[in-house]
Amino acid sequence: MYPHERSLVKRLEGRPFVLLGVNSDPKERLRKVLEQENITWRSWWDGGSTGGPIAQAWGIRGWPTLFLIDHKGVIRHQHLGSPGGEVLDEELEKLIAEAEAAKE
Amino acid sequence: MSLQVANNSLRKHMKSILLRTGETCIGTAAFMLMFCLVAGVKCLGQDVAGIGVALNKEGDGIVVKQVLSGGPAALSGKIKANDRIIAIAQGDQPAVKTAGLDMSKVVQMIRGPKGSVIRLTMLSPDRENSTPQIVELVRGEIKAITAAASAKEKFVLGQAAPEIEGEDVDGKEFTLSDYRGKVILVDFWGDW
Repeated sequence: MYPHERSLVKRLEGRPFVLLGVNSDPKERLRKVLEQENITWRSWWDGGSTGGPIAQAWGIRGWPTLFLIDHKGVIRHQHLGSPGGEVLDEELEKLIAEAEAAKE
Repeated sequence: MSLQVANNSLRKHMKSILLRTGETCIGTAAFMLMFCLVAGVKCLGQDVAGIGVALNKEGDGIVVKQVLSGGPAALSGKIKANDRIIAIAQGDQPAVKTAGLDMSKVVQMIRGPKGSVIRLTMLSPDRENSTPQIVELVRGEIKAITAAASAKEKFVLGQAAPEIEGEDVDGKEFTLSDYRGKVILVDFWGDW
C-alpha cells in the first residue's frame, strides 16, 4: 500500500487531491513508520489503538478502511481493505475531474 | 508460541535490521509481505488469502464483528457475528490461544496461502454454558468489500463526511474541513 500511496501523492501533485490518514498505532511506532517509509502525507493519531475516538465515530470495523470524499465533502466510495490500485485510481480520477470542472 | 507467530516476529525483527543496514530493497519486500498478509492481495507470487471475517478486540478476546458474504467463514455456516475466537491452529499444528495477543498478530495468524487449512476454536454467545467448538476452514481469496455489502455501516455513501478533529503525531491540530474543495482519500491505517 505505501508504494502505491506514495506514487498516488506524487502523480496527483498540483491537482485538487489530498491523502489523509487516521492511524491506530502507538505513537512511537507511528513515528518510526513515517520516517522509515518516507510517508509525506498527514495522519491523525487516533489514540494508539483500533478503538480510538475517530475510528469509533466513523464505525470502522477493519483495517485498512478507505473513504473517498468529493470536493463538496460527500462520501462517495468506501472500501474495507484495499480495492487494488486500479480501482482506486479510476475512482479518484473521476472525482478529481469533477472537482476541477467545478473550479472552472 | 506457534511457529507462525515466531516467524512473524522474526520477520519484523529482520525488517528493522535490514532497514537499518540500508538494504531497503529486501527490507521493503519483507515489509510488503507483512502488509499483504493483512490485505489479502496477491504478493511475491503467492496467493495470500483469508476466511472473510472482520474482527474486533473486546477486552482480552477477539470477537467476530462481521462475516463477509461469499467468504469461507460465511460458506461454512458455522461462524456468526459476536462469536469469539479463542484459539487458532494452522493445519494440524497445535492451537495458539488468542487471549492477550495484539489484533495485528491475530490477523497475521488468520491470513495465509489460499487452500491452506485453519482451525478456529470458537465460542458462541448464543448458547448458554456452551463448550468451545472447533471450526475447520480452507482459506480462500477475499475480495475487498464495499459499503454496499454491509447494511450496518454507520455512514452511507452520498452522505456528508463527519468532521474529523484531531492531532498528528507531533500534537499539531488539523481538521478534515481544512481540505474542503479537494478530493480527499481518508485512509484508516495501521502498520500491520
